[in-house]
Amino acid sequence: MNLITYANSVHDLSLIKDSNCQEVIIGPKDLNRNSKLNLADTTELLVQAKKLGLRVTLEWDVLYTENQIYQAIDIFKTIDDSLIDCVRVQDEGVLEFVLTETNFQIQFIAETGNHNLLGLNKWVSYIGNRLDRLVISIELSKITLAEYIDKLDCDIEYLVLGKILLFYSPRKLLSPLLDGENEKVNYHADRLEAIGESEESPHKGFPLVENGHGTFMYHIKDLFLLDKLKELKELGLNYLRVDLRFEEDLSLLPKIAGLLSSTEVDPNTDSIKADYKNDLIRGYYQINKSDVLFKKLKNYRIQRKDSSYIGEVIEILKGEYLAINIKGQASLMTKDCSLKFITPEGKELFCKVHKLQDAALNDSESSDGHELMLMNYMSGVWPKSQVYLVNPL
Amino acid sequence: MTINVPELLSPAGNLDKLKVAISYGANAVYLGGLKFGLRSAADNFTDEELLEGVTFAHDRDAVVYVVLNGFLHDKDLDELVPFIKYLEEIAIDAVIVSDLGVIETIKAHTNLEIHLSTQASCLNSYSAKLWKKMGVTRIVLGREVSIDEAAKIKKDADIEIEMFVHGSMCMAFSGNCVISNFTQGRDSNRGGCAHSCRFEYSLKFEDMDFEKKNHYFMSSTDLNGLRVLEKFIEAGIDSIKVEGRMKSHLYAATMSKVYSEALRYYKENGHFLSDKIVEWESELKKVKHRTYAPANLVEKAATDTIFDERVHDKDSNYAIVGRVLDRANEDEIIIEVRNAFNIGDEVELIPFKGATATIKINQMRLMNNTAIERTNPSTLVKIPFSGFCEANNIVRLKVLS
Ligand code: SF4
Repeated sequence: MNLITYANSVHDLSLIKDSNCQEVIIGPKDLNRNSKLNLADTTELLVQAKKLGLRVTLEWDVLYTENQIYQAIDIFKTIDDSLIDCVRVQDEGVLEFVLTETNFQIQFIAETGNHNLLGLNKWVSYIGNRLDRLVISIELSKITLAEYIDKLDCDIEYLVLGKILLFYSPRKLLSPLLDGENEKVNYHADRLEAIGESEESPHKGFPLVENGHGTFMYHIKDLFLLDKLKELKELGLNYLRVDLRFEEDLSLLPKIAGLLSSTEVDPNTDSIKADYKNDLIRGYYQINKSDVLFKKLKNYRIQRKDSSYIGEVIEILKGEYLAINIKGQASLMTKDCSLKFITPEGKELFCKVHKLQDAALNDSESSDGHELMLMNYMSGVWPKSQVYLVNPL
Repeated sequence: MTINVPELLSPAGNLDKLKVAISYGANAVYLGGLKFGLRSAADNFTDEELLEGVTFAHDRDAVVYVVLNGFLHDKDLDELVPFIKYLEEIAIDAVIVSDLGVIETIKAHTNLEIHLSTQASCLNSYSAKLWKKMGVTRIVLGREVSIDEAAKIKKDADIEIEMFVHGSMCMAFSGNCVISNFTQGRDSNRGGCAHSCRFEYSLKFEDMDFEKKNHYFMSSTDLNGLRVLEKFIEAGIDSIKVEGRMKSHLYAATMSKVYSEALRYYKENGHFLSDKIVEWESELKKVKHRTYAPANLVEKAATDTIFDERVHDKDSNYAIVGRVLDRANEDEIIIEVRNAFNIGDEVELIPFKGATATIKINQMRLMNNTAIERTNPSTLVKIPFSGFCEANNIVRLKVLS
């Protein structure tokens, strides 16, 4: 299992080297969502990384509209090919460009969605022998992760420590708040940082960043899975990513590397946690149940079900009638037929039709060709109750 | 000379709204089944309703696209197979998909036509070429793309292009927001978005020792592309789409009517040089909306596309009062009441085509002919009207702002 992280300075590079990492991720701010490095500094860092014998991954993870992608490609082309071993991309357009117009190995960031094996396998076969690695989503639980590591024919990378990106917008959302404020506020800055909180959210203190690529919002807590290293190792995970770019301090890296090389069965992570500035969570690592609440969003009882469906009660006049909007096509409501009503609360009521009238209040034998029928009143039935024929032919 | 105009694709949140949208002029609708989409709280369609919706649409030369644009997990894919086979059996016209696993499943089990959802955030021609190789025949571009850029993508990738013309906007790149996943335990990419971007926030800029309280800083204005329709047409965009499966019948009716009338006008006249545009614009303002803006359609969305307010129906002064259900007799129509109205009110009946009819309410009766002064929601009422009207015509009322 290999440890991989980002470098923003020559000092970072030496810490990375000292931590026995083989590879480093570097990105210029023109091509990278989070970087503060200009092109000259990036080149300098790439050169130094090469000198240290590190494998260099250039992270190019911005999303681009049509005009922007050509500008980005021009910037990318100014970077010396010989300094890059691999390019890491998320935008499928950037992927297509790198795949079809360069010879670089590719690390594909499949962290947004890509929650099924079939799709991931397709990416693997599409990128083919140019695929260096898939960076997969932290919304995948350990059971799914184990299955994917087993079944995907490529190396897999998973974030184990760092900020959780919640929101990526191309629009500048922070600087407008500062526009017109006093002189101590510099809303023209290249990069703005803020902490957001809302009465409407149970969570307080969302870190926000605005830069040349838009606005990013992060989780109030950082992902921490370093206490799961043994498990991840047993699963056969190839790459663990640690993202300390916000901390601007890689001094924890040697300690983290120590956990990896430790011969102890369960190395203690307490001192790392104690040194880490932010609150921590495990995210969806144990289990992902992010679809279980959906059933509560909707009243399934007011959904029509089968071909015995007649329609919906739209009005009730107590003691007088039930008005039914005829909706089903397969079954007819006729005088003397038996009906089942399912109320919005789920109660089932049965009733025989002995009085049936059309919209003009003419007695009628059947609902055929009508939008609206009135029938005898039945207590306990409410508007929105669904009406079904009992024993349809 | 025949002038080609884009298809008008309207939202159909349920079967009634499908009928409303098509009756008011949409030549395509998109809708969701009970699962696999991004609107878990919407009514959505049962299998039986889907069949009825497809029949209704095809009988009127309209097409139906079914949304399967969740980022599905493995177990969801297993359940997907019988559903897509059913969709093929009832002859829907295409599915709208954002996940590669879903595309692979559809290709393996059906011959359904596949459109790439905006949720996949396809924003450039390189990306469009890739997705074309994956088997999609149309791309619903991300809402960050301008019409000029879309024209270039269409030309370079040689693929059908669909763009949003109207409706609410996600502030994030579509598919790139998981706020709900991590704060509410609801997967926004499988239909659980809790709209956290519409919340009111206070922001602290610690390095500047500055605080800004109570702002809707990440809420977007609504898209309105009416004024740039000609650009869509000139760019050869294949389909223009209205957002809003969760929105009202009045919304479905108004959008479908206004945009279909506008496209028809252009088809017949080859231009929009008409007072009609002001009329259409005013109609669009009559439905509940946030401040309208063309977003990225012409140039990049600027700071004025942030909707820093809570209330979003300030300048829409109309409410739906109901829909026509049937005729009671030659002189009376039956309305299914959605919002109360009174004797003395002037309501407007919106026909599927042509001018709105104003009806002064001087008499109202329940179905049993009892005279009433005021209606209640979820009731039926008979009002005098001998003009032409059809089932599903929408009736609205001007309300005080
Ligand atoms: S919270 Fe807002 S930005 Fe995020 S998915 Fe929902 S609508 Fe889009």
